[in-house]
Amino acid sequence: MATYVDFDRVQYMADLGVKAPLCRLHFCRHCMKLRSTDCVSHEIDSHYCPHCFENMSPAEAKLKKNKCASCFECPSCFHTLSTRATGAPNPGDDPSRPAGRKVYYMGCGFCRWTTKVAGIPNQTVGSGAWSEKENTNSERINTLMEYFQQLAAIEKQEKDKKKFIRRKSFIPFSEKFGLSSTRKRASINPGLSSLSLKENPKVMDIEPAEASEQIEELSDEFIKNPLKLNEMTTLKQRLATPHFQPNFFSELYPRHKNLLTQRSLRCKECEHNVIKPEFNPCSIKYRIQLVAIYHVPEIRLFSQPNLEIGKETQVILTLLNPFDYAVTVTVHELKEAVFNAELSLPECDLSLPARDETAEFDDCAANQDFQDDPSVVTFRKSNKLGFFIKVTPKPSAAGAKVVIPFQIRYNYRNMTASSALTDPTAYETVSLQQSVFVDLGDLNSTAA
Amino acid sequence: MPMYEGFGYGGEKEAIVLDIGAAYTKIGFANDCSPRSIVPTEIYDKQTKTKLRIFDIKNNETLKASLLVFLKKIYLRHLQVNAKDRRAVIVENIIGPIDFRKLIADVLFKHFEVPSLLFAPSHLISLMPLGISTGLVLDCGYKETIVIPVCDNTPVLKAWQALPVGGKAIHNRIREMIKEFAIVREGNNEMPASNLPSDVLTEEILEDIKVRCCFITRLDRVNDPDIEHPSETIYPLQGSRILVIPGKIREMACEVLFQLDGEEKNIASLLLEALTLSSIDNRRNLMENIVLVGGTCQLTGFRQRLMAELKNLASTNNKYTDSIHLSSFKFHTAPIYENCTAWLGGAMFAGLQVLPNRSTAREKYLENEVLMDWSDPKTYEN
Ligand SMILES: Nc1ncnc2c1ncn2[C@@H]1O[C@H](COP(=O)(O)OP(=O)(O)O)[C@@H](O)[C@H]1O
Ligand SMILES: [Zn+2]
Ligand SMILES: [Zn+2]
Ligand SMILES: [Zn+2]
Repeated sequence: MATYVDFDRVQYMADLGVKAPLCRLHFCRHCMKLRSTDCVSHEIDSHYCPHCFENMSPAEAKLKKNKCASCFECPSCFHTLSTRATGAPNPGDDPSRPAGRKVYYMGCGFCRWTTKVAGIPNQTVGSGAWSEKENTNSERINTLMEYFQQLAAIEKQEKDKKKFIRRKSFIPFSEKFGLSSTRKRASINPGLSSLSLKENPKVMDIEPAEASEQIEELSDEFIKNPLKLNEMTTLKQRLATPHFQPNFFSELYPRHKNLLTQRSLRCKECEHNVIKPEFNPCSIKYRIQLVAIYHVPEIRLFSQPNLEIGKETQVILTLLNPFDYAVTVTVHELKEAVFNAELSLPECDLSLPARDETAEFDDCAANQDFQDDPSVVTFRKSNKLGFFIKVTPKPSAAGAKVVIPFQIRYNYRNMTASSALTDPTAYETVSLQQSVFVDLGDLNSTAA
Repeated sequence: MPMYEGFGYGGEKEAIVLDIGAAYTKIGFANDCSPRSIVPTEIYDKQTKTKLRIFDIKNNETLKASLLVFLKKIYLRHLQVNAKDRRAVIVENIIGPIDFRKLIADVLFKHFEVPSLLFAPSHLISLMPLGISTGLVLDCGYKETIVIPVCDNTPVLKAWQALPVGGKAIHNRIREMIKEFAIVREGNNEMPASNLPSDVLTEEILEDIKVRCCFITRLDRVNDPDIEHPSETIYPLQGSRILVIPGKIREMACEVLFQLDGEEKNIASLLLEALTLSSIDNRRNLMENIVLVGGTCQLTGFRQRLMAELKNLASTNNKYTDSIHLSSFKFHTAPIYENCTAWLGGAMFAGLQVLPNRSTAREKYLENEVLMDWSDPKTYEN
């Protein structure tokens, strides 16, 4: 029953008291501890386009505003657009163009939106000629920015020279805004701000925005004309391009595809990487991949037990050895935990051979040299075995899930020890322990 | 002394700027002219397998865990930068909950290890994209509408006004009106929409109906009892069901914004009320510099109607006729859509070299857990 659907029924204790299934955890080789996603920091290594896999460094991605220069996205359904060729229209229209030459447009294979719908002219080259809708307000915003920069520079200068008198600042967040007394003073002399600006010749002039009284009323035609729902854009379509939020479908404009990131994870405690991908986004390999299932013996729940209060039940758990060396695991009581069941844990060692990728295909693998106690070990297959735990739910388990906590101890080969510097195959064996919590589910209701 | 000289401004690593709204979060960088992304302020809840609005989470522990997931996605997916390398600027509602600000600070400083953090009051910085220092700012977003006058770059807090109407109230009204007036067709069958299972009309659908079908009508049509509403619209629901939305819903659902409540308030009266509470010297300047921010202001017909309501209330309601007669009302248009105006202000401020002085540095925060407060000048002194 150990399926991937209920993988979260067995949880391991990581840092900060976080409990999580082993597949969600990392194992820091340097701290030799389990790390949850909260205790690793995410770092962006590189960016790539999810469509064409073009790969770039953070500096380059920053320059391109995290967008792929060659791929475009459908403004209607956000699928990637493809470029299509078509014969040029009647060449007689444009004598400078040789007849029969191909022209290109972009179209969406999902929703059938095309650049023609948007009235975007066809291009004579297949790629490189397309652009996004530009922000017509950039110039104005940049002028304002320049103006505020100059004011800020003056404020900073004055402050550095310790000449900064506590007078009205030119920009918001002045040293003294928000107080009613200053507000009164400012309102007595509303011209102060502009006066001080004129005193200082270094500041450029800007035109403050002009408000207007004139607004065109909605026409009777607008109100009465039937609405064509398909001609209106959805809010999602509008918000996809914040600087251009068209109300009408015909005004939608293609936008560059956003990049995705490749990230590495770092242990917050020792700053070593626990995940480090290859630079190439097409590669599924990692340079460092310390996911916990490869570095900690794994416990799984073999089958759903039938539990009743006061009745001892044998629960079968599976134990897997992920290491390429044999391991001996012992199971112990977890003292600090709260139980709602009495446990009787196996007292003998559970020995497992090394993980062997080929063993799966080898039916008659000889692994019978283990002297197992049949009252503890139920089965064995290559690096895996099943073992019994006897569970007797306490009355406090009524209405709650039965969760059994215990600890596993095992020997771990630490390859990062100092001796490994001189000999890469050298290691140091340490004894590690992990706290495990198995959710056995509800009590058997029919038996009550 | 700023702690990261030459690091925050002008250098190469721009600060990140977030406006975490009740419904949508605007995400981007200092010095950019528009946000990189706008995403719903929600996370996917693995347990219930549904989307969960961050601001609906009541339990503090869950909220913190959800914020962590949400911000992680913002950094890795949308901003694609390492949190440690960038100062952070969060656009905030001045009269918003203090707890939330503390929680964000905790998560950003302790988990993401941002070098510094600044909370920028949204109404104040909304003036920056206009290049003005005095304005009457109305923010109409998802949950509520808040008006605060700003005079010479100073929010006049004693005059603030708020009403719990915005996008959400419109959605609720659409749901009520659909139950009352709409019908559903399925094949040859027709039934009242009130028979629909309650989970069919999700807020997503209601918002879609609002954005694609509804508009804010003219004042003269509201008071006309014989008005002929526009034609109905066919709206496909899941499967073969079709919702027939009568013109009345399209035209009248957004009236929640303008209906006077028990205290004679609507979103237009908030502006007038704020004006009467501002000093006489500033009133004229304020009414000629009205700044509209928040996504709900983007509804078709919003500006027209707000103007008409202002004129109407100011000339007929004797509460205002005496105090407001100085001039005409004027609306600004920012160089960006209304739902991003506050974000743009934040991005402009975050690009200035004074940012480090106005921000709380991580080391300082970890020492005493005190945030620089924009309203307390003492915290700026060093
Ligand atoms: N173009 C638009 N037309 C109509 N409503 C819009 C538009 N854009 C956003 N909205 C509405 O505005 C509200 C969100 O506005 P926003 O200012 O982003 O709110 P908040 O900051 O409170 O999340 C939502 O209810 C949304 O439906
Ligand atoms: Zn690409
Ligand atoms: Zn499409
Ligand atoms: Zn470590």
